[in-house]
Amino acid sequence: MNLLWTILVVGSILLFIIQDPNLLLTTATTSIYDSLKMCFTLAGIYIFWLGIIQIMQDSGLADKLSKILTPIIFILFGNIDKEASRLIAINISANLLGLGNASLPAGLKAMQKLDNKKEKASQQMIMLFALNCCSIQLLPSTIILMRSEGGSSSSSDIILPIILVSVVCFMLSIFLVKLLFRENKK
Amino acid sequence: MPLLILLVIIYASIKKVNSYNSFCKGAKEGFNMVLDIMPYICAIMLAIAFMRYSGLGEYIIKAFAPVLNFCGVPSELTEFIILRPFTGSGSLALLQDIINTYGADSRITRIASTIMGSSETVFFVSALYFAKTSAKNIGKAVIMMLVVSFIGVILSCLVCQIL
Repeated sequence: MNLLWTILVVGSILLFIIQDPNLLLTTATTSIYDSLKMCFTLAGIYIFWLGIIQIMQDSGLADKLSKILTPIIFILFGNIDKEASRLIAINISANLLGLGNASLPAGLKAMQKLDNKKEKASQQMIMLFALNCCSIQLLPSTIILMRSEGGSSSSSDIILPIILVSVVCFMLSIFLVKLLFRENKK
Repeated sequence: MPLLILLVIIYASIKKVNSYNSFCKGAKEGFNMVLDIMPYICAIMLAIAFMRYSGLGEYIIKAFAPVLNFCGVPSELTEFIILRPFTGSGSLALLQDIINTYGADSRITRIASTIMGSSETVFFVSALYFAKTSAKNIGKAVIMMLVVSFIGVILSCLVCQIL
């Protein structure tokens, strides 16, 4: 991550110097401004969904959800503490429903629960990350909407390919996580 | 979705849970969470903006085009595929462009939509998810997921060819 970032930034700065040095600062400040705007949008999303998630946890709804998903969570994560598994359940179901905004705060909280306070990320942490990189969605509504607005005659025929590819990627990443990040058992 | 939220709150009322207090308790963490990931978002957005306006992005696209072509990916999609792991909104905008240019039912659009729906912004997700943790060595995981995404891209092309 560090290496990639450094290469990208150094490469860009060199090109800026050759072409138009003045553009550099403008680009930098506008992009930071955009990031902050994005942070505010995210803050709105987080505060709302964390509130809802807390209600779900306090009312026991999250418990129910995690009970349904327990077999899956157990296979993927092994034994983890109750609260983390509840949060992961919310994370997974929000992903499935296409509520990416709701799954992010739940996932972040779950990640903090899984944190092993070591330099090396645990297999569970990588697994959670991998799950969220595959983002299996049952109904990719944004894309369908964009296509039907673009005048597609059958905008929802994209669902099958998307699910197919996501499931394969999902299986592949689970397999890779299990293979490459095996914990050393003592 | 509004229905789901309604259900959550009604369920809480039935269980006699104090929704108002719970909501505030959860919401309290929201702002800190954003503050935690704020520097990471800035750093990534900065790199993306630099890449775009310096012209480095175009060189990268040119460099990758033959590789992607070799794997059977149409060259019209090179920019989209490179951008996808970095930014969600950026690649959505590009998808819109693709729909406008090639038509909503074209093969290119179908492949792009499949890629869009089946992959995620790997760099962003990694930055966000690992921001608050103590883990430092996540390079391996990120590379792994990039490889998986790339396999997903090739698969998308294949699947759209068949279906």
